[in-house]
Amino acid sequence: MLDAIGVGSLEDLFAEIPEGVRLGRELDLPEGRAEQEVYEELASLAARNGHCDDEVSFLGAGMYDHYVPALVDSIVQRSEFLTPYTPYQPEISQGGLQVMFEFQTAISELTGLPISNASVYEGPSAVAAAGYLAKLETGRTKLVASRGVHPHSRAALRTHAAGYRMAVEEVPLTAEGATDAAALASEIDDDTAAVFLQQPNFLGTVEELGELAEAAGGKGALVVCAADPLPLGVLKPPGEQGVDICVGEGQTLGNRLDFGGPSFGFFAAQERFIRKLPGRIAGETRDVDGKRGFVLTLQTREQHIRREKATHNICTSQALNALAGVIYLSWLGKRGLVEIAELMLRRTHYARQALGLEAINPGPVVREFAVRVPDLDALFERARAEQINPGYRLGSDYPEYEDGLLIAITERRTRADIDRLATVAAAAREGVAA
Amino acid sequence: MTPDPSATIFERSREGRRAFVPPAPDVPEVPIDELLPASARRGRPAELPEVSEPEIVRHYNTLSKMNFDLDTGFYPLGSCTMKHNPKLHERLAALPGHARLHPLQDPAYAQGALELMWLLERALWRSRGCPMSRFSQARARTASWPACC
Repeated sequence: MLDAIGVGSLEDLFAEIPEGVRLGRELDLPEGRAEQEVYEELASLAARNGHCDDEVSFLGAGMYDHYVPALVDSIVQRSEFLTPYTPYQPEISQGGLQVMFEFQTAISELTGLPISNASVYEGPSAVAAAGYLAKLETGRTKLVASRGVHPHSRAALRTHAAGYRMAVEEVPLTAEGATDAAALASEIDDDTAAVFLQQPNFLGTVEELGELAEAAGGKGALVVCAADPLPLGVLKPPGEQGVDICVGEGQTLGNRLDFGGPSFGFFAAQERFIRKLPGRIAGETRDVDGKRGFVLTLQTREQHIRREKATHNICTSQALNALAGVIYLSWLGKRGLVEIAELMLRRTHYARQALGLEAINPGPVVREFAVRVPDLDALFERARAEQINPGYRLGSDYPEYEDGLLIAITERRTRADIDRLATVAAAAREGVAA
Repeated sequence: MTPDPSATIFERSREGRRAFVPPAPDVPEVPIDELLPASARRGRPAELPEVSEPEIVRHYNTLSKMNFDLDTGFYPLGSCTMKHNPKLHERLAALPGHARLHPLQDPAYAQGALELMWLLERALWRSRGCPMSRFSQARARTASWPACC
């Protein structure tokens, strides 16, 4: 190889690098090993994790144990989707670009908003990106977020907002676990760039989105809603309720849990924000022969085109995870999305009744709900002994719900699973063996 | 017959076709309007495609053949150098102990995942002589953002 490129030694390739910044030693890494040995070591690490095939999990709080159909894996593992570069050259990327276009269309349908990008990294950073769009759009300096928005999303919003000098004020929840509409209205002023809501909220409550959006709109603030995609099978789309921007976490659409590993965020908006949207947008066009083709479009929003005027610093998308998303939504289809949402709605209702624990949010819920548990440690101990993960402890994020437990239901949690949890909860309450 | 590659999955939709079959109902079929108020209920369903599984597979397989990819040939790039990722990675990442692990799982039940992250942090540290590394950002450009704040 050195002969082929006319270079004397490996060192000659680094001749341009100044002496003072050279490492001057070998990289201190372990020796390479046989594939089989690497497999054994990393598989043994995997074996030490308590995962959703090992336990009946009611753990949700933003990512959920849904069934991913086999066709997702078989398509997503194709080299032509798994290994290409980003689609800057449309001539060699028509497959991936059409996937992006179809994904965007599916997200628009789900959210009821006409514009969608080709995906961002995950839910929380999509929320933060919406804050920046609101700053660009309004020039105002304040953001208002309901405490019903996911704690990770509020944290991401704060981190980003600090960087561009915006304050984030929080609005409390009512005693019924919904956003306090009066408190929201009084917090919004003429300096509020955007209001952040979540549907369903972190506790699982179905918010009165239309009313809350109205309170925000009156002062010229944008309304941003983070939405859980599958409940949109039964819930009114945010775009029909006065929401300007709908974002969310896409893991539940055909993606794995992966310990929080790669998923995607979606970002949909009203038409007038199209030139301020972050990230990739795939558009339809005609080639020189007049045939339909797809390209990345409106790229002057992006930092590699106009640096200081870029609307965001993201230069890519989660194309493979978004592919899994559009395959999954096509697999569910128009009726399947309704059916899966109705199934979760009914099973969640059943679970709330079967458990008989005091509700933190007694109003309508779709796939998750919060309860008070007098002795959480006792419940967890008994549940673990039965290979059940009862859910998410609310206390660390919500000191006001120190004894709170967030229980998630998916189509994988059967009535039998729910009955087992109810038995364990009853036994824990009575201090007897389950 | 090879499907028209320019049709979108939406254009392949035919009323009544389906892929997903829901699990059999096992809880009382309470009417939806008793569980959700009208103000929150969706009116018309989202216009997602109505297609069967083989149609979905043929559609995306056909699209895949319109992509150049690294398993086919190389990309002469510098800033986003495209290297071969050993195929072993996909097999390992798909192991249930990794793939089916919830991010909010009790750390006592995620020791394998946490040790794996620690091993990689140390490898990066040792290769660079840096005091610590951090795993949170998806890309180099987003990693630079908190560093600038």
